[in-house]
Amino acid sequence: MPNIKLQSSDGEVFEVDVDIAKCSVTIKTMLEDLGMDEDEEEVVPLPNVNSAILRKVIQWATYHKDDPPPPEDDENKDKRTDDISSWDADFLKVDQGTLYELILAANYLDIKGLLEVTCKTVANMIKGKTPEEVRKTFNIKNDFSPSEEEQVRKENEWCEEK
Amino acid sequence: MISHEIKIEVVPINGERIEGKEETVVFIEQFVKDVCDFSSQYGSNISISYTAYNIAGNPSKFPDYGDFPQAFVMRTYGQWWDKAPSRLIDYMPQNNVNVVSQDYIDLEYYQEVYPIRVSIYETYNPGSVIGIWAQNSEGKWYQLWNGFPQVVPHKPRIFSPHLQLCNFKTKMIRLEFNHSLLDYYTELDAVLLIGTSELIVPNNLRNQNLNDLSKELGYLKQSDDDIYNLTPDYLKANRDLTILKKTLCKHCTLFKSRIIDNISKGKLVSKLGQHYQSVPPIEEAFKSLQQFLQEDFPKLIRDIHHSIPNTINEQNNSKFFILKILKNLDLRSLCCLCRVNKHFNNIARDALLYTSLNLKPYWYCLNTSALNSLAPRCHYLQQLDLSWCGNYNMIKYQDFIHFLYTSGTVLTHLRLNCCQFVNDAIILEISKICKNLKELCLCNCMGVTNEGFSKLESLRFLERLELYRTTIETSTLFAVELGNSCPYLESVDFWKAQTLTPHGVRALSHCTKLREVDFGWCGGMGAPGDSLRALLFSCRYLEKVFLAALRGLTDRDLEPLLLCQRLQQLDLLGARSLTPDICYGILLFCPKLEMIDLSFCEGINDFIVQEWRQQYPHVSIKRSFQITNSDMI
Repeated sequence: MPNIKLQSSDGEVFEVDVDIAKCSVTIKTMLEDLGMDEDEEEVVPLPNVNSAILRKVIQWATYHKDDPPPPEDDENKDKRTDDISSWDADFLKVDQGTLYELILAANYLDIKGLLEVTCKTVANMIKGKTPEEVRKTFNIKNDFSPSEEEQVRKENEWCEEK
Repeated sequence: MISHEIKIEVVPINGERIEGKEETVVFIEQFVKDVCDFSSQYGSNISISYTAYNIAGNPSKFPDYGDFPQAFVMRTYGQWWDKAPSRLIDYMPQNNVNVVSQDYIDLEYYQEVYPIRVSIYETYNPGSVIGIWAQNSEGKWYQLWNGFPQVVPHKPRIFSPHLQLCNFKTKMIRLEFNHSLLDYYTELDAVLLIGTSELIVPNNLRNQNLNDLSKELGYLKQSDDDIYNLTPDYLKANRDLTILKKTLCKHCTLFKSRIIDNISKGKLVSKLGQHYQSVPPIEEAFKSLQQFLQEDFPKLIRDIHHSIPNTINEQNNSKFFILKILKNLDLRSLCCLCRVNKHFNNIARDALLYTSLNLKPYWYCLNTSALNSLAPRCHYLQQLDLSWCGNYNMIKYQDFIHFLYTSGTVLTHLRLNCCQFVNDAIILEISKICKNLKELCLCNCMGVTNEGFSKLESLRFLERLELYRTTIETSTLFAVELGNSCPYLESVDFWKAQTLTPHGVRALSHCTKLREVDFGWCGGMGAPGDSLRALLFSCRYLEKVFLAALRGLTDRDLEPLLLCQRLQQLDLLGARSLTPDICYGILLFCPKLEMIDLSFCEGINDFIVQEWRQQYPHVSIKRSFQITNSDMI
């Protein structure tokens, strides 16, 4: 199995199986379009991803290397957030900062599966919470004036309870 | 008659003793007075067999078990309909809760009561009830129970799930169903509502309602086969309540007395007690008010003074990522996010999040003001499912027309099943505003007349049109028109269309790409002559063929099916003169066949059906039956 070297923003170099690295569409395109030779000892720089995050990304990609390719963008599919596998759920038990950096990395590296599952994980942190609980979870300040707050409450309270 | 359907019993109870008089509570047991609304019935509007109204009144068949036309039966069961080419996929599936309700029926009773128990008499294929709701006098609905579809033994059953405490009087109950685990159609005979004239609660605060009390006192005998059922032994159903009534004084008090005793601690709180409507009761409300005043309120004040640096909303994450995340959210969570702060109020109302909107799961709370608050977010709305919504005047037709004006111009898919407010005026506006409509579902929209249907012709891009239980009258003409102008049609469903004739069926044989036909109960087809044979012969891609209750069907009509290599589902219910030969041929020559319904096919005996079941285990061979009570003993 040919390997490829990936360099994180803080200079650490990771040697990865090419097939695993290619689950990043960004890297795959780079290799194909720019004709980077797989045999060469060249290092692919990834200036937007630090070593801690890159390590996580590689760990994820290694576990998912045999997954079937993700389906084409379909508005009505994949929007359920209760279908996260237990491995992914464990993998994403990280602090919020790491989770957001993983989202950014998944987007930059164009890894659709990782982007989906990280976004769903954040969505699950919002689901079923009251506005105040969301503020607490994400450390957000309520900047509504009392009359504004009353107004948005009126607009949005209709679906709150059963 | 009425006296049989209501049973009233006055029971003494502890309460405030006014002038030494003992307080009493009235227990009322009643069967259904009327069916106000429903989403589906197997029988047709002009028939009394298998129709929704059969659920009214006393049980007529229970404890007989089997397929009886005197019961209420719905149109689907199992997953066959979801496997057919015409299956519907939900928009915005993240709005759905764990179990999707596929059907409902609204039951009106004689007297308003505080409900204690709802007992459902199931006489065939039990297990599909998944929700029970009650409507209060202001028209608002509350869920009393929800659960999963169950696989239970094939026996008559009285199903009484454990309801939540209901703090208001009701005489309108909605049942919701999910048929996905059923082997065959479910049949319901009657629904008993047991309730009281006053709200009573057990003395011991740990118990929430009479069901809990009955359980704790050991009066309820539950069964391991039927764990969610409080009345697993139908011979002894609700006997626990009879015992409980005798000792009611010892264990219960009137709720109104309780309030006055326990929380007379201030004007505000006692007022709260009087008007307090939802579950769970008093002490919780009291606690949460306390908690709010002691903890959250000071914090709120602090928050207003101190600005806390935030991590998610402004720093690294651009709008793109937030939208990407929010696209996974259900509508309730989006509405909740709007209330977090100004930034989220802005972004959670972004029109890109509202391109595909499924409001059906919110039928119980979607009213005009909700619709109005959604309208400004829906400029790019393409798919809207408003099915089940707006009934009992929650939405008026003018409100929906107003919504269409602001948010309907780019709609391509519109589902309005069971919306009573839909009328000719709405269809007219749809035909003018929603020019790009590809899908329009109007099942159970009884308010649309021929005048309204005639406006549909201006919808040039329509690919799917559903008209189940509407008053459309022009089936044959319509079929001829389809046959001539839509050669690429994939699915037609004329189920119960009495006016379809062999002429119409023959015209459809031009549609050689058909994958699915349903001519079930099309009485006007009579003896189809060569029309059906011609259609089946020219349509080789058929996957689903439903021909229920076409009594005149012969072996010859079905011969071309032997060439349909893709045939998966075949319904021949009630085809009296079919012989085993043709069915055997279909089992032999249609390799993809998964389901065949041979109920009431009198020319084919049970013995052969049993043999085929052994021989073709991959095919689900349906055959309904009847067992009367005397047979079982």
